[in-house]
Amino acid sequence: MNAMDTIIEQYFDGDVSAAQMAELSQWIQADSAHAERFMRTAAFYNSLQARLLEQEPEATIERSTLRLRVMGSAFAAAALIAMALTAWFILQPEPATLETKPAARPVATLVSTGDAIGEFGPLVSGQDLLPQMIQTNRGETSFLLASLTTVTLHGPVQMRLDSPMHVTLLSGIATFRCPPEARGFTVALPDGSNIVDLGTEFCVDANLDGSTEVWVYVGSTQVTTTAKEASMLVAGEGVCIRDGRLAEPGATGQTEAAVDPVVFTEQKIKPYVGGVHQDGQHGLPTSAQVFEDGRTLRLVGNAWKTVAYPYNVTPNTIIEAEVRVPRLGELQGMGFDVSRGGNYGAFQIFGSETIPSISREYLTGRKTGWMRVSVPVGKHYTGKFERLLFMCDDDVAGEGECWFRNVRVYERPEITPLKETQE
Amino acid sequence: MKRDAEFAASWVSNQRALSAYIMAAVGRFHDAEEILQKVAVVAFTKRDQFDAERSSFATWAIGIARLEISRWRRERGRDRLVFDDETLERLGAAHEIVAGEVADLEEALIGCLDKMQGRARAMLEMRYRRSMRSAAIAKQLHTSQGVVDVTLSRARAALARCVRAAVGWDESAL
Repeated sequence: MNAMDTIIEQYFDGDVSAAQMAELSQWIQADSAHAERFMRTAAFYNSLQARLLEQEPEATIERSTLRLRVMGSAFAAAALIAMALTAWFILQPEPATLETKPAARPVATLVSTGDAIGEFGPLVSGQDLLPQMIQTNRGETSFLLASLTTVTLHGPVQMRLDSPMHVTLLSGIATFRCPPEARGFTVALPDGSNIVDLGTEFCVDANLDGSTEVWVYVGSTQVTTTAKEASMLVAGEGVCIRDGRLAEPGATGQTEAAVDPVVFTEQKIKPYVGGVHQDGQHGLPTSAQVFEDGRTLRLVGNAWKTVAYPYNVTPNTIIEAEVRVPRLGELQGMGFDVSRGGNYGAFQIFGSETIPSISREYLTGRKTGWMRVSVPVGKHYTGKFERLLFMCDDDVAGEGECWFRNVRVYERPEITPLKETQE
Repeated sequence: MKRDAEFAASWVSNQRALSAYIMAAVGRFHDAEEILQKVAVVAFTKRDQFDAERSSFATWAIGIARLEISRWRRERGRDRLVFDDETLERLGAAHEIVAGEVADLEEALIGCLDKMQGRARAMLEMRYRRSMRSAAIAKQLHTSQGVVDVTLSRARAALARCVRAAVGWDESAL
């Protein structure tokens, strides 16, 4: 693209300066071929925008003797002329009737998809979406609703697009990012509960067991259940909807450990600063969000975080946690921050990347929703350590996301050997 | 009645090229649309003054468009960068040559646009259908403004290449 092409592009994008305008004017006047090229470019931009606007559905006006299709909302002048000429049409000898048929309106545009399937077949990026049921099995699918709400589906999800301001999440994890103008955007759940946006970014995890978790990242939402229980959640808060009632998320998690879970606070969390500064490496984003319950930690980006938790690791020490991975990234795991002898002290739980000093002995397959993971760290190292290490490594795209909750560190109960008895 | 029917047919066949001329003169689609609407009203009001023996409908309509563009320039001149009269005259002459090509260009563009998918298509939709600026698109798609600008530029260039191939133009034409 030469310099004049750039100026022409800026002219039709509304970003041209006075000096560039003068240069463009001179160029047009210098040669009739330039003026003709400029005219074609104007026609190109005009048609491009008209075509894209035309895809907004419209009513078609049909007559028994004449079909006049108005060329999209962009051609308002044509519509005006058509309206003016209606006087002529209705004076024709044959009586005419005007019938207006509303067309189905697209409610969203698909931005990217792994394997999304709609009611009318597989969906492709860039496609306009009519109200319909959508199913995904893996990967990430993102679409932009006409309300400008961005919806991201993580892994296997079933969702129905009802309107630009309303969707129904049947199962799976979905994140919603609502701009101020989409205030009131609603996510309905199969049991009749509703989550109403009040200007926010939030995540809804509809589990197959019928319970649903709602987590607010930014702003606030209103959650109302079928039992008429309601709660307003603000950033950093989460709630579980179970049997039509509100409950604390993760509160029912079963464990053999007789210790309280690790309490996360923003102050206790620090970037990992071992031999290699992995946290935010290559300038990629990294963030850690602690939810209000203090038991839930969300890592996003290329995040390696440590949490102050002094502990004397013995051969019987176990770290246990509930983990879920909405976006896989390259490597997710946890352990103690050992930072000695080239070892991180962490154990990989998910991900395909291999780092020689990180054990893959406890690697597990990724599933939707929360998974309980238990690592007998004492089998691998012992000693006194100051910090736990949580990894959400994605140093290619910086888009990984990994949650840890109900993290417990405890000692495996001693097993008393049975005395041999003689029969 | 016959005269009105002829007027309607002439308007419909010239509207796209006229719209492109106004777009060339003012640069912004929504401004061009506003002016086209005014031109339509004036043209319809003065339809009895059009004399097919003295000029073509396109030339007559361009004359009205130039007056409306001048009026628009007077009204908006302070906050809009606009071409001078000489440049508009040059564009008017170019319009007479290019007008017959606009329908082919539009038809080709529709086919090319339908083939475009993915993030580039989504960004075009956001930019031109929803009138979102690059910064807003970047925020919405969790990316940088630079990525949006480059993607949009490449998407338009790809569409232009596709249109040239479909219509049989060389690079100097578009």
